[in-house]
Amino acid sequence: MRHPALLSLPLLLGLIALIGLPALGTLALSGFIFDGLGAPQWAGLKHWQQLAADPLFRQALSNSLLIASASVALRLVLALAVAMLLSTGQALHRGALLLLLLPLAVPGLVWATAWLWLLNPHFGPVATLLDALFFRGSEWLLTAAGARSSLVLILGLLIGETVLILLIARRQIPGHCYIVARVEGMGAFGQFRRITLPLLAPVLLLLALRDFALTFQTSFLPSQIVTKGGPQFASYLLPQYVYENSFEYLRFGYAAALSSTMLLIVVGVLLMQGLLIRRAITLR
Amino acid sequence: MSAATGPAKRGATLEIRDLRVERDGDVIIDGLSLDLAAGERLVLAGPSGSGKSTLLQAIAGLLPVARGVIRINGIDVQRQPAGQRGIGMVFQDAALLPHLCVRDNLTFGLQARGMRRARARQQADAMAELLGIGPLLARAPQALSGGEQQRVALGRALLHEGGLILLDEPLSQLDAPLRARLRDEFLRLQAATGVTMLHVTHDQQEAMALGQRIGILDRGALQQLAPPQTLYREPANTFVARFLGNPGMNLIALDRQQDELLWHGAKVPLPHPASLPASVVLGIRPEDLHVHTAMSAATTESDGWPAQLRRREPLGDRSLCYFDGPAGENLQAWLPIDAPVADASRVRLQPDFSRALLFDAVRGTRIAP
Repeated sequence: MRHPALLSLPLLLGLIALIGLPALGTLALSGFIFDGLGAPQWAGLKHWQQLAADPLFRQALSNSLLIASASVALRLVLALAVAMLLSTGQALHRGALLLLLLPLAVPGLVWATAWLWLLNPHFGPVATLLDALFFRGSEWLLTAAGARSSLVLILGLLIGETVLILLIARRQIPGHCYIVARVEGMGAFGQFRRITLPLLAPVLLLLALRDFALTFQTSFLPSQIVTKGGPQFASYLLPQYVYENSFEYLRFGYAAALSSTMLLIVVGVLLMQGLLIRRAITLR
Repeated sequence: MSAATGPAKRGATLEIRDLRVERDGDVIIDGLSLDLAAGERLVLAGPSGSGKSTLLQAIAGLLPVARGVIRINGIDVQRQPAGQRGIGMVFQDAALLPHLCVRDNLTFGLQARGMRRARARQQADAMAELLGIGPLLARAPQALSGGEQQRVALGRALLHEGGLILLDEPLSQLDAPLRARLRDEFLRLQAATGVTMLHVTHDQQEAMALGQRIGILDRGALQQLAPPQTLYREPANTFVARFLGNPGMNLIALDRQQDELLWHGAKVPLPHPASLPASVVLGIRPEDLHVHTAMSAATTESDGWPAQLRRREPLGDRSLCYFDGPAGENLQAWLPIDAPVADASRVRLQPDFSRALLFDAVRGTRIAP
């Protein structure tokens, strides 16, 4: 084969057809007023001007950035803790891992609906618990902070896959590192801090950026079902705004401008990911 | 207790009494006792599975001990976790931490044991100087050759304050010339630092070169502990006789007639104790078995034992020859490389009986001289 790179042609063509062209199409659509029924009308940069001045866009963007970052951070910390517990390697842990992976087998809609019940301010178990602990604790769920925290919790608790990846990565660390650490007088916490954490760092970084991109772009089911973006748009997310603009208000042009912005942010994150990972790899 | 030689600047003493170590319910070491003087180099040699590595891990505190006492500088260390016993350790693979540069690999332990960073760096740099790896300090372990990695690992072990280092087959993954160079290096550094060194290996050349005393270990028990030449000339039993030497000692079953020892009817002129065990084995080193190749009509019984050449392995200036005795016994001896002898030719092997040993065939122990 003279050009081995040609072997990746089918994948490249697929990527161009399924992602590249639609992205370009979306960008083009942002220049039109289009309700999905009549012919699109040229609007120039109108939608981009509108977007720059739109307070709801800014609110949704900052909500999305905040909730995606916080939930990914929560997920990584929890998953790391669980993976460390499981990496001691007992037979029992296979069952635990299965339990952790179970939410992934359930449709997102079911996952979110279950949380709707759990977090219900009137009769949900979380509210009951909060009431038992604090005077009128359940009212906290109705505040902006309460709604955002709920979303962070719902998204952050999806740790099964992350635990699995971290467990595998932990198993890749050569056992002699820990024997050396013991001989050199390093305690359990020191071993975690000076050996496990630095050697897992490239994987953690990869997971952080990938999960951020995914969560930022696609995770509006919980806010749609559990908090309805409320109260007062406090938990309203950017993908939700895109969805409502296109399929409820039929403002496809404006939704296209919003989508393109979101795509640019994700591309930025992915570029950063490439850069950081390359550096992490050359460091080792 | 043998005398420690060399300047013992900071070597620790090590005492092991009646040690028993189990692993997953199997007894790996049982009833082992051993003493190392300050600054001594002791090598434990034995085949794989003899319990060498397990012993080191038990001493270092990486494995629990079922019974027995381990004392370092007279202090029972069994309550102390690994890392607080003042023991440095070198492993088969250098076991450097892949995410740290050479300097940080050296300071890692010092800092773990509470030394301040600046002082740890000073000590690491001084050690690197001693080891001749100064220019490598900023490199990643992956960028080092096997020999360089093992030097760093040795440096890390020598930076331990306790004055005792355990070496677990540290040279076995290196090629022969590098092994020879590092053996030199080990001797130099041990002399320079005065540490006590307990080294295990399956390589007898390494054991002979590095050990002031050598212990031969088999199935978790110490077979013999003596200086190298004593082990070679006066092995305590057939296991040691076979294990040491390349090839090992020829062991030949003898017949007994009253108080006479015979080999295929020929009398074996060897002084032996009055009371002989039921069956006796004669041990003779290949170099003490002279080969008479010229078979003339004049050759008589007094010229040695009849044998047939089975195979020759040319090894530079001489060849190692494998012979079959009359009853198919396997005998080994040396011949000059250009010795005029054809394959399958009949020869006579003349043992130097002044160098021969007698063993109890059942128990394996040496009975004479």
